[in-house]
Amino acid sequence: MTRPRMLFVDDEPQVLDGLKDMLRTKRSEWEMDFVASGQEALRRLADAPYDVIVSDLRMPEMDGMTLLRTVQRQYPRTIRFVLSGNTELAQTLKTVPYAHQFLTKPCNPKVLRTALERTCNPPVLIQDEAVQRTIAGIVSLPSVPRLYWELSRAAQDPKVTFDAITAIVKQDTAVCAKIIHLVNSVFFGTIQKITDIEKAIRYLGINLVKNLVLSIELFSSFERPRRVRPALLADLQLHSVRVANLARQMFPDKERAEEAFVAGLLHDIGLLIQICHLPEQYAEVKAELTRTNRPIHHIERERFGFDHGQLGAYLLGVWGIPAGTVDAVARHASPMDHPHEGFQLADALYVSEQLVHQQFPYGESSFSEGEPSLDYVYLEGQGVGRDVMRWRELAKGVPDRV
Amino acid sequence: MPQPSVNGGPDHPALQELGLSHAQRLESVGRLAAGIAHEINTPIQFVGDSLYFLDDAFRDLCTLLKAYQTFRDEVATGAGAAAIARILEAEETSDLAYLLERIPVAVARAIDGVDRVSTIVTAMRDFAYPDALEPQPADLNGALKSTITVARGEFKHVATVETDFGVLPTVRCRIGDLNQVFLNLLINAAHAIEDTLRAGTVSRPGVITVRTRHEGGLVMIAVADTGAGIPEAIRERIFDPFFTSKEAGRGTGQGLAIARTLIEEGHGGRIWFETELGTGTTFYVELPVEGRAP
Repeated sequence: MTRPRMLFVDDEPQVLDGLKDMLRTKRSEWEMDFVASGQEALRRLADAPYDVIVSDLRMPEMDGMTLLRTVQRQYPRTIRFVLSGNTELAQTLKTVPYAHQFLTKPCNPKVLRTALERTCNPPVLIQDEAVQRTIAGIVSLPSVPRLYWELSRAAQDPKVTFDAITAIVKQDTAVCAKIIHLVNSVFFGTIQKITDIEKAIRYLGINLVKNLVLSIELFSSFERPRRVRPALLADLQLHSVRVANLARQMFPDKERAEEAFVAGLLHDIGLLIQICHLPEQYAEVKAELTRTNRPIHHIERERFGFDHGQLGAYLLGVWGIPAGTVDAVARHASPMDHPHEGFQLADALYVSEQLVHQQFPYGESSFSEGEPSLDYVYLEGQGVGRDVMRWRELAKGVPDRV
Repeated sequence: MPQPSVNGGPDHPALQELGLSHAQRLESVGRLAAGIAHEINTPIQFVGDSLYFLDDAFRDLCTLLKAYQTFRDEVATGAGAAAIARILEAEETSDLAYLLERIPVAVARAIDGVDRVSTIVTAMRDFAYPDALEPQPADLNGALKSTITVARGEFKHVATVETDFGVLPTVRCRIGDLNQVFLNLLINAAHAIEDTLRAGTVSRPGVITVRTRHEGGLVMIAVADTGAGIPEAIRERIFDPFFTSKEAGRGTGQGLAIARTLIEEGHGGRIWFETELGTGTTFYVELPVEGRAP
């Protein structure tokens, strides 16, 4: 078994030394190198690839942005982190396209350790390290969407004002429109119509807005290869929205319902990655689907050793999305493979997805994930056997907009 | 184009002059804030990491210490090879060799970080200290040191600063105004060097040399850079208000004009420069030790 390799870059030797001591207990698990300049980092990368690079931004000669941009081009499989004491937002924003995660100095040691741990050992159930390596090796993962990143960064500040959040959201009118629409939808049961974006954000809360922005940006941030029909992505998005809308109705608790909603929006991001970044792989899967109509995750696992849930979860993990959501996305195709108590988020995604496929087969692009089926014995065991009939009814009228 | 008028305005000249420089001083503190925050965030990062490590290390050492106490009791009752093997294993588990080597380093690093932060904070306080209306005796070497510290974030990636301070008497002056002048000279020097780096004519960081001397009733401060020198065509104009050779956002064009007003009219001193293309520029400030003649 090879250990994950990490490269830390900072022009301040004391910072490198501090990181080295702080991470000392990880010495046996991770291979860590510490270098003082971008040039030295590139020399090391040329010698042997790294899984993760953690770089400062303000450095003499080669700054962090130049370094990460070069790494993105030459070593697209290396996960790129920024660890910077820079306080100028404008400057930091420029690096957004080149990094997967941003950490600001001073960064709590536990936060940094956890971020690294989660990148190396995603909390998703990809037990097979070879599979994990394959995923990391086949695709250069897109960097975190910009608006989402700005909101996450703002939301970390306990003193952040709604004005500041509103200002960020207002940069994107499409996002504003969706938020207004969401707040006025049945789910939130607002009595008067809310048309003011700031009021809408207050009503929904920063967290939900943040996640909503993520789901909106997701679909626009992936570049559609020419030979992929736009209808395919539109169908995938529609499917995700329906699954999200159905899954949230399965939890009476407001917080869990929101979590289910977000997980629903994200659950098939692995398919999005396949379609846009691995078009040949997707074409193979699609051909077999058309021929056999077997469940898509069976085909994927046979062919590649992992399914699109795990693939998507891997990206969400790299982006620092909360572990619960990542975990549910990873297992959503067959939650019964990993026995657990009660009806969990992954179960909700599973049921919602199957019911939505039953209710709305194909679509304009003949998008399919194979013959839909529900394991009633399993659902009985999770204590929701009686609810399925009700959910099936709900699926018939599930809203197709957020 | 508005001209900064120092004399002849409706207000008392001295007050207006004070207001003008104070406003610019505030502006430059604002501009420096990002660099200062970066300079503080960096040591806080490694102080935090060091303390995390020390906390962790202490816990491991405590476990080891307990193992030693057990070992001591075992020795008292005639310990054998097994007890020795156990204690060696405990040393291994606690990472003793690493801890013994690294704990002193981590402590030194944490102290260094705290020192750096307090140096910056002290320098900021000195730099932004509001002047009294009347000139006061001040330590110019100390003031230069503070100004270099607060401006460090602005120049450290393009140049190192070398100081060559002579023994100076206290000088009767408005130290806040002089700090402003020193800051402007330092930032100009850094920009001159940065330009040569950007143009690719040199690839190594340059040097800014700050010298002070005392002779007779005068003190002299010189700020020299290893930039490209000032082109002949603009040498005449560099003290003109709003004249700038820098792109928008990098300079208001008032730095040297204000410096000249503060030095000549505010302190009865002189400011001039010597420059050589391809070698660099040196700005000189000369001040009377006793302050401006009444």
